[in-house]
Amino acid sequence: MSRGGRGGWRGGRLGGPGKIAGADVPWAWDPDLKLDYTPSQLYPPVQPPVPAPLTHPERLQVSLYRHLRDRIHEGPLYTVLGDSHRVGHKEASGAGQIDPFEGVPTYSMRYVKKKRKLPRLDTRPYGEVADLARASWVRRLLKYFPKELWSTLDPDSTAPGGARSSKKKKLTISTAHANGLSEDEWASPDPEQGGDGGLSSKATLEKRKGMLNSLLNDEEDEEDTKDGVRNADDEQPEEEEEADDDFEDEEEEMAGDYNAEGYFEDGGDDYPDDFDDGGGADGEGWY
Amino acid sequence: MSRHALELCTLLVNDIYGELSSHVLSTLFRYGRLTISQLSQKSHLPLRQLKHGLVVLIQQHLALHYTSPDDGITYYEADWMSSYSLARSGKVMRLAEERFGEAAGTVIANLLTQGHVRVGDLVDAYGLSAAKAKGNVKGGGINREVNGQAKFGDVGIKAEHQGLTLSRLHSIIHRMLHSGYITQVTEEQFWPITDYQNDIERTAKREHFSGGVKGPKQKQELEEMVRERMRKNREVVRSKFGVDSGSRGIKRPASDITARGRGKRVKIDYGFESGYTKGDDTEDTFVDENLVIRVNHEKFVVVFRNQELINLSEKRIGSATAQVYAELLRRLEANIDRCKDNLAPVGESDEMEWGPSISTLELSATLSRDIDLVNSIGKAPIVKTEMKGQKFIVNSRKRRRLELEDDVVGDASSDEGESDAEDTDSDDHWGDEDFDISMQDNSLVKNQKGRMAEIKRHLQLLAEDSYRFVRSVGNRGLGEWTVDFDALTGILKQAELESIITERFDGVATRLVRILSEKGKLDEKQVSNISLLKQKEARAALTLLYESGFIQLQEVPRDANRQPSRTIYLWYFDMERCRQLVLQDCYKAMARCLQRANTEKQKMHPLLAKAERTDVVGREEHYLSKIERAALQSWKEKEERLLGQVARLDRLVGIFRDY
Repeated sequence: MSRGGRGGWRGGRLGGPGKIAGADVPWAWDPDLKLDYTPSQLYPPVQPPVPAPLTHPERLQVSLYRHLRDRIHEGPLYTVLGDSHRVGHKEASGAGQIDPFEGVPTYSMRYVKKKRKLPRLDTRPYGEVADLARASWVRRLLKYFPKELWSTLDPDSTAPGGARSSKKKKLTISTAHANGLSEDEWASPDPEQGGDGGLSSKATLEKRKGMLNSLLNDEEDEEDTKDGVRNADDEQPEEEEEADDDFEDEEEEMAGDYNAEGYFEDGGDDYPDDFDDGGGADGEGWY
Repeated sequence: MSRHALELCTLLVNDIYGELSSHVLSTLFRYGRLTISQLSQKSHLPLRQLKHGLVVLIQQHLALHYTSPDDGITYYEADWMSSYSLARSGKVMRLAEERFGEAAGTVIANLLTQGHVRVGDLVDAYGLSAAKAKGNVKGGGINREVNGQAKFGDVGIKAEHQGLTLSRLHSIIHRMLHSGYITQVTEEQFWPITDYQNDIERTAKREHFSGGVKGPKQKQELEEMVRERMRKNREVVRSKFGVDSGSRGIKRPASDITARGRGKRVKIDYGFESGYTKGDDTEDTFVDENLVIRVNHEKFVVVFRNQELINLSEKRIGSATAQVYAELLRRLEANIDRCKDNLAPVGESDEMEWGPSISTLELSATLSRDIDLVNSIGKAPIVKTEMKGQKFIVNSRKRRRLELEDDVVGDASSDEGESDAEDTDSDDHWGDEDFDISMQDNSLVKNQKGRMAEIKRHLQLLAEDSYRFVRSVGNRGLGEWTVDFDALTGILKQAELESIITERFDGVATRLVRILSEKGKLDEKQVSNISLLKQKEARAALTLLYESGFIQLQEVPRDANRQPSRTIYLWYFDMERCRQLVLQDCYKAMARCLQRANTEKQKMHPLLAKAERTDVVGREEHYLSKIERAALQSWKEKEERLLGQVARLDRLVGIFRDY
């Protein structure tokens, strides 16, 4: 309103009411108008409008949203880069980085939820279907991703002959409903696991803890990110290492029942390239 | 897309998928289309990390990619609309639950968690693989349930899930596929829309315009051809499972719709709880295991729009009529796949004929009997047990009165005349003599006819309202009705905007906006005359509105000198500008809510970290003090309120953007 400012002032003086720079304007000059020139309060008291309380359906929606969010946070795709990891800066290391108040290791840190810097993509199946004609595995879902990401998705996909890793992957889903005891229900209940004989509640708890630990175990990941750019091809041995974490041991301890269905990794089918590396039992089916 | 929308989408993705995903996505938002090496440069992420981030984004349909066939380079782009729909996920799950039962809600939740999923994998993850199910389908189901109970009882999973058999899961998926709530994933869905368009254009050019496109006429032909093909591709996917959308305009035989509708109703009413047996558990409801599915947000938006319209009609007319309207919209829903169709044929000027319609007869087949149709309009018959004849006399009197009212309404608005004439025509069909005859028939037929007439009266109420909730298009099946969604959403927008203005300013401002939107461009003097306000008052209100951008000012100089004194100043109201304005405000407010929630979470960080410790989860009573538990509770309430506010703002975004 620069015109209104200077021109208006002069107009008021020279041309009388209702004029700008001597010219008449269609809006009338208001002689009653008393302008308040006192400085306004810096932070005048504001009454913020209070929204109406949430209705029942709205609360249900919110709880469903939170439930979904929690499940994704607990799943393999959620990542936290963390404060120490500033994007675009080299990560500083050494004593200077240690937080003197909270950085000192304590016993209870064993239980602290580990943060993941890289999503774990090898925990879900990508539509693996046996191609009998070529005696290899075809991954139907990979076609939805650009080729340059295939090796990231599933290191096996680039292996010769489309070999398939020995473990059968499974989606981590929840069949539980959000309105229940949502915190406890995220683990995918698998009928195969405890099919023979019910587990006591303590065992279930232990089991879930073991899963959580192994899911969140990302020590290898951290090392990798420090190394910076890596060739995707030389990742493969590492990926196998990751599979051999402490998870198996825990599995065998508590539910090492003989499971006929899972004895042969994938139900006893005998594809020529499907070898048994003698690894863990069906426990890995959790992913 | 605006800065605020960008901020909001980044926050949403950060909230749900974490920092790596949101960082990659915000880089894509800021720079647009990038190759992977450019992206690595701009985002300052090592390639390995970046690739992982991209996989998550593509898996969740938040980023699009396209590999050019010419040079083989893959480009990535952010899909901000699908990132926005994360804000709707709560609503989507609730709706699925309402429509198809709780199990369907969890299926949708799983689809949202996984992005897209192969049906076979999903079934496996539920622990219901096809090999084992052979026994279960035939009688083995009960055994399984018993086993399940023993196993999951202590984990606290609801009983309903133990009864989830393979065939049930399949039929849930099938039904949602059929009605379009989930859709098949195709490779094209991962491409940016322009690339898809170019791809089709290339093939079309190769096939039909080998000599190159010459002149504006051929150009137009090509354009039309591209749209046609895109539409066809879309419909191929849809019609595999659902309603044949190609026959949208063609009227299906009444019996077909009625039969289908009735079947659907039964399913919805009794769902999985009790009567879900036979018929639906047959082989044909099994979905191909290799099918890849995802949630179809477009279809959910259609349902949200319907809910808005139902609310509006309830406010305008009444709950019983709104229930009738709800049923009508629900039936029409099957034929509407999306709210705004970018690919709709251009040349088709007669938009009215295109919309799906439904007759009173078809509607009555599925309308719930619990709705009190009779007592909700006008004066009810005094006692139910009265002679039927008397009741009809009362009814017919009432009808005459209604007709009289119709005439008044019809006179008031000139373009009502035609439909009004139709209405009275069809009324004659149900005139008094009809009722006289029906008196001698058995009571069932009588009831049926009376009910039909009542439904019709409700529909007429909807049609005669100045908002035109429905429009009569014919006399088939006792009157055929359609809904003009475009006009109605315009009304929705206007009403919502007016309430925003009233809330922010006062009634005077709303009055001025209404005057301006009705009359067009007006001089200040005219405004004050029409609004019955002093010029000074009107000016104050107008200036306030102008400052906040709801109305605009146009200068029309009377001579070439453009002197202020010789200039006319016209106020006007522009809906499109207001729409954008409110939309941006909404995005901003939603982003602020999420930021606030983050801040609150940061404040609680030490306590939350403790509560999330693996030894504490599930044993809060033991490890957390009373104060800590109270603090957690109050934080949860705060977050709930903030997220609830986001959901409310999302309603506005729906009205101003999607419907």
